[in-house]
Amino acid sequence: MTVRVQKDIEKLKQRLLEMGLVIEEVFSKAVRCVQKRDITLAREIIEGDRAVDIAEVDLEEECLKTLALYQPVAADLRLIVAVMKINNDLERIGDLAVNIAERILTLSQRQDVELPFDFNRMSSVVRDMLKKSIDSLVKLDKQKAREVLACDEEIDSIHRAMYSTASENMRQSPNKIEYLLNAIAISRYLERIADHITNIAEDVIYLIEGEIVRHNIKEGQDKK
Amino acid sequence: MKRKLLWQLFFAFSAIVIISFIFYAAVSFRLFTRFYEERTVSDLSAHLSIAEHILSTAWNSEASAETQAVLLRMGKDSDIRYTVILPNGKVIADSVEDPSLMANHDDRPEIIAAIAASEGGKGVAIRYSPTLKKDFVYVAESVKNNGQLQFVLRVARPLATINEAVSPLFHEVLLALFLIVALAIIISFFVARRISMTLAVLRDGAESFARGEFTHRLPVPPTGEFAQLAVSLNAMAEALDDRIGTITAQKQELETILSSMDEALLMVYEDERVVRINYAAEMLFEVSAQAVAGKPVIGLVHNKQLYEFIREVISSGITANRDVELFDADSKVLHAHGAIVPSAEGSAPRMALFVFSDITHLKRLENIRKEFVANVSHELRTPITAIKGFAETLLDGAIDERENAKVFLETISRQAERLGSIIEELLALSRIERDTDRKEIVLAREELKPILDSAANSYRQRAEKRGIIIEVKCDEMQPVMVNRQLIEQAVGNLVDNAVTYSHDNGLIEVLARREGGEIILSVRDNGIGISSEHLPRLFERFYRVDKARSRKAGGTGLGLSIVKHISIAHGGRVAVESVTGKGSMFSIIIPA
Repeated sequence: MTVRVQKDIEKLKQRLLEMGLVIEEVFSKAVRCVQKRDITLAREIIEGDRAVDIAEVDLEEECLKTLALYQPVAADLRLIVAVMKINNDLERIGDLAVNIAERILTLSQRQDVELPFDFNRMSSVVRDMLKKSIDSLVKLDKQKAREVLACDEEIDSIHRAMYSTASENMRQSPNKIEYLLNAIAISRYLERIADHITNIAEDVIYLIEGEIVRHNIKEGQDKK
Repeated sequence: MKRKLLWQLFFAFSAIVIISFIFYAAVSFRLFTRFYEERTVSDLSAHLSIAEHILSTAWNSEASAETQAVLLRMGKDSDIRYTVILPNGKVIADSVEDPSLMANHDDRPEIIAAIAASEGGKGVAIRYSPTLKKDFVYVAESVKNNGQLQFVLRVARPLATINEAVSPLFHEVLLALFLIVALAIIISFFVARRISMTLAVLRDGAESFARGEFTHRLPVPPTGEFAQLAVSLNAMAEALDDRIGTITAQKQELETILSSMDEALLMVYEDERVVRINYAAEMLFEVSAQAVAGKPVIGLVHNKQLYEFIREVISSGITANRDVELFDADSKVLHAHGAIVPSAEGSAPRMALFVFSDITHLKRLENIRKEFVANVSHELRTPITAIKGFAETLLDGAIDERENAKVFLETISRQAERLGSIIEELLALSRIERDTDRKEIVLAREELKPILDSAANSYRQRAEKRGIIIEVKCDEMQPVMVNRQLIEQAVGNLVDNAVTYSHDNGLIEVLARREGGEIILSVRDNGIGISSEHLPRLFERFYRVDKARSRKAGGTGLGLSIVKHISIAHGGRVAVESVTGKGSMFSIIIPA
């Protein structure tokens, strides 16, 4: 009986990892799409989201089924909970990638304008974070997960700096306001993707330690 | 722990020796006793004859008192007992006991035997005497006169006497035997120990072989069978050493091949766990071989297409090839080859082998070529379309309208010229490349400044129309090994671009300086600049940053490409720095 449970739970984790792969690819495509202002790629991303949504719902249902069937406890329970939560975060990242693609559809009409922030740097850091967070899940590596949390700082600061650059640009070239508004959105989406990735990392830490580290709630507080 | 051989042998030997001893002791005892009994019997028979002789000469069955006296006399000072018994069994005389007290002896076996015996026969018995309450040896004979039984004469000797005689002898024999046994036991102990120790040595040797130490050889014991065993073990050690050496060498070979391969190698079990990866794969996937061994492969390849390819090959069992694009920071393209490895033995799990070669470079070249062909076709088609169009229009009747005809023909002429320049530049480019390949570029020592001035002057007129100033600043230096025509063309192209992309009233500087064994020729402008994403591809043929603008300006898109190849022809390189909105600086760097 226990072997059966283990196998089913392993399968859930496997499916989550596959989801992770898909989202990694979607994100990379989105980055490429922004760099090349590639409309075809943007359409691909937008159309591909349906499959991601379906996969997310499927996986969640599988998890609920497993919970109902086996009523697992302790580590197994934490694992299934973590799978469900990370599943959600991954799907949200997919949606945000779609949002970025949609901005590109608008932006692609004006090729000569640059984004008011270092997109290459920001996307590279986020890509790294995503890879590391999934890695930390695969290897159950707390260290890696914490590194992901540390990276979020930089993303936030790039995003904040972007606002001042953008408003300066808007003052200088009012004709580009529409464009710049879209560019700001892209930065925002990236920043939110980063937040979801940190959620994933926190879920991994929870899975490993059995402790909830979100919102900086310290140990010892609010204990029964 | 099994019973030690030593003790087994020892006990066996000792048991044999002791049993033999006991057996032999018993047998000798029996023999001795028998011997003495027979001796006693014959001895007694002799006494019997003498006594018979004495008694039968004056036999009178009535004169028992005299008989008794005779017997007493004979039995005195001797341990022999004489007894005379009448045919009816009555004892009439005995040398030891009072005859009247003695029972009837007709039931005594020796008497019965003596009576029944033929002439000269005797009855012998060894038995317990109820009378004297001791064991005796009896010999009896019947004495006859003229065939008629007169009496039975019996002599006897106590058995104890015999025993007394035998015992000391027997004890001596026993002692001797005991010593021999002790000696035998000691010797058997040592022999057993010797065997056991030899075996122990061989066993230790075999154990060290089992541990993998093949460097020593077993000493050969003197005993035949053990010697053979030792020799066999040594031969086995040698063979094993050899084989292990071969296997290790093969393994080393394999490791060397795998780790020096350029391609990334991945081996996976049927259940998708990783068997091993080689060094190139470690680099490609940024993991360490130990970290991923035995883990599911999905964690290794952070790529959906790769993972699906792996899955497909495993499930279908068919060898497959695919080009996979990694959407990572470098946009690598991998050529993946996967095949199932037929399992060596039935029990071993099936494995799949994947080899990934990095074909990013190839793909890029392919893309460049495709783009180039497309670009050339397009570039050539445009002027040709215009020429055709206008020519047809003229033929259709526009030729009759003088004003329009003139305009059209001018256009045709311009387009033809444009076509000409494109083709000229393409030819020039390919010539430069070919000559570089064939090493036919001619270099000569030339002064740089005149060349730079000449290049700048070609475009001065055009520049001045928009108020742009071109300055030539050439450092003092020796003449340089260059091909004058090509360098002038290259610098000219750079100046041309600078003029095209400068603002009105801008400044263009043509600089030459010497730095660290190299000559650096630069053209700097403060025009519109170029954004960073275009810089890597700037020198590609027909590459345009902004298609619309440069076509209007009349460029062919080949200028920078020509500059690059001219630099390469001189054994140098090109470089560009640019900031959007501030300007650019293009440099040709050649060896001094």
